[in-house]
Amino acid sequence: MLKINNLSKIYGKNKVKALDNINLEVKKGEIFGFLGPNGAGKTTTIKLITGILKIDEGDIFVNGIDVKKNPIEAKKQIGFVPDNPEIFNRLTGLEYLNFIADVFEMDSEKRADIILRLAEEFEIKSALKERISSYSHGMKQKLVLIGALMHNPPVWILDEPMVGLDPKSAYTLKNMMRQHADSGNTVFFSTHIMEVAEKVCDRIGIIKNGRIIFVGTVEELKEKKNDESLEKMFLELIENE
Amino acid sequence: MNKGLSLAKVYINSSYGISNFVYNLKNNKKDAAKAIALVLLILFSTTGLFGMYLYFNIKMYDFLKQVQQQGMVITMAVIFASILTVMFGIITVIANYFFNQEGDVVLALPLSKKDLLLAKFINTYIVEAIVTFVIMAIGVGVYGVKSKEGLIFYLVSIIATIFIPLIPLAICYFIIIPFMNYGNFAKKKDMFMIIGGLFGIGIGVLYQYFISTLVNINATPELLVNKLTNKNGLIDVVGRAYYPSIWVSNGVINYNKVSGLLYLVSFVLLSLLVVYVLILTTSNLYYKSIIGSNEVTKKNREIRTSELKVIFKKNGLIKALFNREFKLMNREPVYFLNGPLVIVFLPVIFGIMFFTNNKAMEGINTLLINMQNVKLIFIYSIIAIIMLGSTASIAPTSISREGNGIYVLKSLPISPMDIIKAKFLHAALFGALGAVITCIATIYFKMSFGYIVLAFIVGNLWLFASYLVGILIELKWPKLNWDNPQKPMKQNVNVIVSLFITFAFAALVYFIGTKISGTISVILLIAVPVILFIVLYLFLKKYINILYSTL
Ligand SMILES: Nc1ncnc2c1ncn2[C@@H]1O[C@H](COP(=O)(O)OP(=O)(O)OP(=O)(O)O)[C@@H](O)[C@H]1O
Ligand SMILES: [Mg+2]
Repeated sequence: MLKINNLSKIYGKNKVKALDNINLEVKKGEIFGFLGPNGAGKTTTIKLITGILKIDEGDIFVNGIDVKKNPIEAKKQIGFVPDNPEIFNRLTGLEYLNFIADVFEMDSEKRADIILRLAEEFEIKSALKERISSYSHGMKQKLVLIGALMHNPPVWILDEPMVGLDPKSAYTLKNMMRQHADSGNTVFFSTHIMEVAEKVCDRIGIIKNGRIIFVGTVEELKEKKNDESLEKMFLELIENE
Repeated sequence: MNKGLSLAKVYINSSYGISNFVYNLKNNKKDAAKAIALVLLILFSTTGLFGMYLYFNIKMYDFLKQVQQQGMVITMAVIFASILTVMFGIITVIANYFFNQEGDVVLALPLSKKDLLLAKFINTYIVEAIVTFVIMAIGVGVYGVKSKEGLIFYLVSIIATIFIPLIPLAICYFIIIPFMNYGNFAKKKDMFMIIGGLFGIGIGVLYQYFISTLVNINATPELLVNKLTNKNGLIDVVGRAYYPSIWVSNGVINYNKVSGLLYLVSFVLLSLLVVYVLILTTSNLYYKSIIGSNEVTKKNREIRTSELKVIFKKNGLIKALFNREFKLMNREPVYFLNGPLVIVFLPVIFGIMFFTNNKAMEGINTLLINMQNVKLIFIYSIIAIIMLGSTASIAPTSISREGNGIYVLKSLPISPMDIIKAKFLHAALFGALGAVITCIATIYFKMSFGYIVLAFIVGNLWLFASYLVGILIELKWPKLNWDNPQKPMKQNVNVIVSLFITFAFAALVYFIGTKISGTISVILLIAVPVILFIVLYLFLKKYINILYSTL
């Protein structure tokens, strides 16, 4: 479960309001798609949820835990995939995953089991012993995904997770998201692409210029098409594909 | 060639952060001030070196004047600048190969191979030109003032100086480009970086040797001048091997004669010709060597079931963080060379200096004769431990080195204090290594075992406090946005600030050790760093969450 109350964010001194009074609630068992054009504030929201940015205004609760008051406990609930998988290039894939496993205190048999299974599924097992710097963009994306998912966190926060994945892996990921939600967990992910959202999401939220302009199912969005700004937004997001 | 020039502009801008600086000057005064402070500090730290060179030049002029050979001052400057250009040139050319700042984007642009090489050449030329200007300014300045030359002399000198680095730098490219191709070295980036670094350290050793001979002969500079200028001396040999250097100096000295003008014009033309030939003949090879330089040799290594237990071993959090930190630092050649390796190499350089410089040996011997100086040696070894431990710059780069990776760390459920603990341990480990080396060296000075252990402990206590200072500075002013690993390491103000604070610690140790007597001084030597540490720790503990969350 994820709850965002009156969240605002201003970057630095340049007074640009990247987020303006965001309210959202994502329930257990739900896949929530966060849509919006470039620069709308998706990544900013996600960075606030995951504790990368400091929350100045508003509150975020992850599975009922206050991110501001108890950041470490809140982060334990989260599996996070950043939008840019450029990470720790000098480590090998295996070293990276082991590090994450140590952070989440996974014991040795369990991590071996899950890492090998996921690596097999995403077809990067043979590259695990290589330095991350030698990976392709998609391979890095897969590695980060494995790192985020292997400790089985109840809340998945994924920032444009499909970017760079080959169709088969994207399909695998979509299935995993469904399964995860169906077993009572929460999946929150951002994307530009309406079609992806339409296929996998239970509900979507649309953000523009730091404001939420729509929350609901895709059907509800289609019904509201006579709303001019939504209509425009919808077209933009479809064309984005 | 127009495109090559505009690419060079982009390179220069991104290498030296000029437009960033101009932007900061207008919008971010604090960062601009920091950049200026850094440049001033670098200048300040080299004044001793250039001061010595200036002094030497003045002596040399006076001496040569007696035999009407004062023009040699200029020749010497030209030759010296050319040699330095080749030395630095090799390092900068290699570094430029590997800090592929442009990434693949530039390769994908419709630029000719000649443009690419020209742009790189101009970018490396800037560094060499600065060094050359400083060296030439001293030689030309001394000659000009002493011979009462007019404005035109200086103008001619400046123009000549612009062209001096061209041929030596071209030589560097002529050497390195084929190397990169045939040895397939471009793909062994890490190895090459380390070789380059060792080469740099070698220059450092040579330089130390040079300075110590200079100091030795100080009483009679005439001797050294003689050594340099007589038949088969340095100037003669280099002058014969690299004859154009004589053209420049003849040109500058005889600037008001037709022959001087001819010399200069021929030098300028020759320089341009050499660069032109370089671009013409090697740009194909150069292009070949940069393409695919990012490839990593892959060995398809499967995971075997027999090794599962070892591979997937569970570690405690601090150990995991430490391992990560350790690997990330020591696998990056830039970090490794400027950090941990220094701890081993600095003592080697000092050792060489020490054994080549007889005067220092005499001093030590008299010290040894007076056994009451045991305490002085004790204090010096503590200071040596503090200085050596801080040269690895692990703590004052601890946050900046993370770069973008810090955001991944922040998204993980790790308490900031644990991250700091791992970083502290990392710094402490290498500090202790330096301390061990220092302690081994002190055996030579016949310090008793008890004192050696005490020096080890006291030195490390002071270092612990300095690590906390470094980490605090880093938390407050981290340099996280960088595109090449030089920036958090070598262009980081925090390193210098922390170094100065460590010097202050060392000065304090010296003060306590020499001005306060007996047991009290030993108690203070232990108590002061412990109290400092506790205060700093409490401060860190209080502010760490807020500092960490605003990173
Ligand atoms: N570090 C930063 N400093 C200043 N402003 C920033 C920073 N990061 C983002 N912004 C601004 O915040 C706004 C929202 O950016 P954000 O990255 O959240 O968008 P996004 O919806 O993720 O876009 P995209 O689809 O391109 O990933 C933008 O106007 C951007 O310019
Ligand atoms: Mg984004």
